[in-house]
Amino acid sequence: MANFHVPLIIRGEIIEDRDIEYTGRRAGSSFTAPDVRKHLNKLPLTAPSALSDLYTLTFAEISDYLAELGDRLSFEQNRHLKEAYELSVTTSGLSPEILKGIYQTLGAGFSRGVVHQTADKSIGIPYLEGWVGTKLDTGGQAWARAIGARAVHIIAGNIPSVAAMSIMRNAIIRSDIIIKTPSNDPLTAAAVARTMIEMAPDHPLTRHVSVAYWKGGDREIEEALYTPRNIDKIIAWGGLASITHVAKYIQPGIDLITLDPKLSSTIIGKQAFADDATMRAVAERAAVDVGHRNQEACHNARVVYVQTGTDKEGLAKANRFGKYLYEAIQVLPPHISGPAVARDLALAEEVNALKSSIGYYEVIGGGAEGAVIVSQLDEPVDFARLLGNRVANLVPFDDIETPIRSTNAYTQTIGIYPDSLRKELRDRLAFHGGQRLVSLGYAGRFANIGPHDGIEPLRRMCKWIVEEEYDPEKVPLASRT
Amino acid sequence: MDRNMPADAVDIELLKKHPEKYPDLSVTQQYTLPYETVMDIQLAVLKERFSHLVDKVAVLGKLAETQGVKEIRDFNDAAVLLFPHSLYKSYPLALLEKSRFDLLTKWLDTMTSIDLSSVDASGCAGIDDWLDVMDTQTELRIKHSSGTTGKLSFVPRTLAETEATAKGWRRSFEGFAGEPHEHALAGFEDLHVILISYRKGALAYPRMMDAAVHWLYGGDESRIVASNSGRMSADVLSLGGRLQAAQAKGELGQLQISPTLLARRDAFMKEQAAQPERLKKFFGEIVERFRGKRVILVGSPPTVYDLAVEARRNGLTDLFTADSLAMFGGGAKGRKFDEDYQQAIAKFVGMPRWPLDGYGMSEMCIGSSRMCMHGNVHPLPSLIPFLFDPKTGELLPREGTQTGRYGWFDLAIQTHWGGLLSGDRVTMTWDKPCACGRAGPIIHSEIRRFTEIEGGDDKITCAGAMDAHDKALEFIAQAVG
Repeated sequence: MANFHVPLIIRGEIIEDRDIEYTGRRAGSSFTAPDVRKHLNKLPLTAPSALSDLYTLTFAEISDYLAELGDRLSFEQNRHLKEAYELSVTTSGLSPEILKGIYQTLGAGFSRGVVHQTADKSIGIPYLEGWVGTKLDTGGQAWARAIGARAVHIIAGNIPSVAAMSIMRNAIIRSDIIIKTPSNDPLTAAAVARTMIEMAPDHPLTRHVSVAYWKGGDREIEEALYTPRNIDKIIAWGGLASITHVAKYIQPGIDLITLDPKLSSTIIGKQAFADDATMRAVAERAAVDVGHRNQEACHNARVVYVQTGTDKEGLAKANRFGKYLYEAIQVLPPHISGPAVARDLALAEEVNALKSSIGYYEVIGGGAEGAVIVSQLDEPVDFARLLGNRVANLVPFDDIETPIRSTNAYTQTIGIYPDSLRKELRDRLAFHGGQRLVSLGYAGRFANIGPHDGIEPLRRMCKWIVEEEYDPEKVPLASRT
Repeated sequence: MDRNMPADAVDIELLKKHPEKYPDLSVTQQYTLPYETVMDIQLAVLKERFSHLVDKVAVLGKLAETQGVKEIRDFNDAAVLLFPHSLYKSYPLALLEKSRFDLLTKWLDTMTSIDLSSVDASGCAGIDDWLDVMDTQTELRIKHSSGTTGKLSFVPRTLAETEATAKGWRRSFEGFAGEPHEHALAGFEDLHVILISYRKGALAYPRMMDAAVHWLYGGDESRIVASNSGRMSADVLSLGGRLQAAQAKGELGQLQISPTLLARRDAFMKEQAAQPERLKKFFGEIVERFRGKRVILVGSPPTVYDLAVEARRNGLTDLFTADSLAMFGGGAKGRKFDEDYQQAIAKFVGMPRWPLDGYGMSEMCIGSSRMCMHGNVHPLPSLIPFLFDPKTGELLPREGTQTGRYGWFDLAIQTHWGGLLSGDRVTMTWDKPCACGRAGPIIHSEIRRFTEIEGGDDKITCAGAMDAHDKALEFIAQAVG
């Protein structure tokens, strides 16, 4: 069993005590960490005005800082990242090859291009830099500005990039971040923070990042931290259990932003089945949406609706397409996708049962390499929410209403083929709850223009301040009208 | 065969042809047969079952073909033919939601050698309705599970097969030579069964009682005194499971109640309203008729405990004789008790101690065997145990002490395939006989479900079935104003 050490980082200070030993997820490793309870007095930023040092920086300076940080987050040269990678290999559901691919591109998330687009499209750089004015129809004048906040980010550990992205976002909005790391990725955020400290120990951006691990649900820590005296926002990734848990602490003065686990799906129109070559090409695109990062992410395709029809001929087509899809998943390159690292036992059991059953499902594959289950009715499998480990469920349909009706508030991404079908369906899919509509094969790319899971998290992470001016000469006082 | 017949007088050839007659033998006889002989019988039956069923049970034919098994030569050949336990719920849930009971019948037809092609289930409005149709139109007496996430398993048992179930149940009260309850069956025929549960329905307990009335009591229904003479509805239970699953996921808002259930709402409400009165009457009846008498008590720990508490409140303990028989199966899972519930229940009954626990599964035909006085479980000779490596799925050697996933083949099952791979992790010792004197392998007492070990299991255990059923009734009550 590999042993790791996870430091507690509080605004530039690294605390290396080994007070407590924790077991990592999947019990593949353990790690030691300081007891956060001993440092509760300095973990929160008690005075909100302490954010003012961030306002000595221009956006250009923030962008320079992040670009340099990105350069230093080179997987080959950064020992902290390497260590985070080594720990992740023992806890993650992703293969070493995929993890390496993610760590190798982690720094790119801090590039000028990404930072500029994120800031400008998600919020608008002028709002981050100063007060943006508007002439009011009623005669007055008003200005708005996005101000940073004191936030705790309870991040997810399924993909290491979440840690890096949270730090990047925090810098853009000039906020103070306390990252509560997950047990399956306790080191990536710390690795980025350590790199910041090595690069510029006294820089305001460095001095507003803290990274801590504690066992989620520790009342002593959470009661002390989650109060309006100490924080303004909680950004919580995670399922019902963790959200209901955090929700206990919500009160006036604390804003909870939830990024729930989502499921994604796919709609493939009849054009895809025109001929064998098209079917193969479309299967390759669908395979990327299914297999990318081993289907561990919210954006991965799980249930794939195919407009083959449900008559005998239609089912034959769906079954053939299932075979093509399975083959295309198998040849995905190892840094994108591979056989399951940790098989989900409950899912494997369900797949096994359908493989043995007769009548309603055709199963292609079924081992650690993944599977394609082709429903023989226009209904997804009953365990659709378990789909992972590169197991996709093809659902043939006649009427386009079938996939539309299946869309709900839990649907994040819908990959669609062809693009004309996307245009045709987009309003209705949005009304039903779908949150992101993408060309088939590109679910793993994110536009980074603001909206995410139906909300605009970056805007919500800011405090929006309004300034107003009225001249009594032009806008009479209420008492005078 | 006579109960007191010595082991060497047991008719081995008869058992090879009719292993369902095993419960005619005393426990001592069953476990003093040399295990070599037991295995001879097992292999002979296994061969016969396979050749008889492979063309009659479609799912078996399919699995045999996939696995390349043409005949059974040894236990290893059968090991690859154990059905995943979820096969018995491998139908699409949509068939129930859309009342396509004709298609559900077709699905079940692939599981059994009984010809279901002439059954007309098209008019069924719900699961209860369908079960009734199957009861009256066929020789099947389908047994269903309490349901994971609302999906019930359906096991196609026949009326004839339940003879062994009834007799096996009776035999389960008896001890091995030298054990205090060796002669527990003396006078069994005169005892009443006090059933603390619903009397009707197709869950394990009610079906067991059906079998007992039919095969042991000559059709005399008055031998069973049930706390609720009504029916544990499969439709309600299924809703209860979905309710629990939806609650766990925070998706209660999405749950729909079928029109069939809503139509029965008034009846359910009446039934619920009468519950306190009925319990009072039941309690009065058992006190009046059976106080100080020897009885057979059957129920799950939570319901029996509630009764024990009620009795204690009325100053009643040691209600029956110390040599009363009891089966409190299903465990206490899902229920927390304020005190040692086993002690409280034993005191209520008047037993010196909690009866020995058993280990079995509702998919088995001859149910459970009880632990011996040394705390070990001894698989019945009518059961072929298998252990598999949980990671690779490979059969573990039948020697030494091994821990793995438990599978079994029940020789008494004649009309569907008797082999099943469970979700339980058990430790077995194959070649070191237990000090209790029983021959053959032993299962050590710590038994866990793999899905629990992997984290989380939303299975409603038998013990929780009543609770799930009642919660669902409340939900139906609130559903319409």
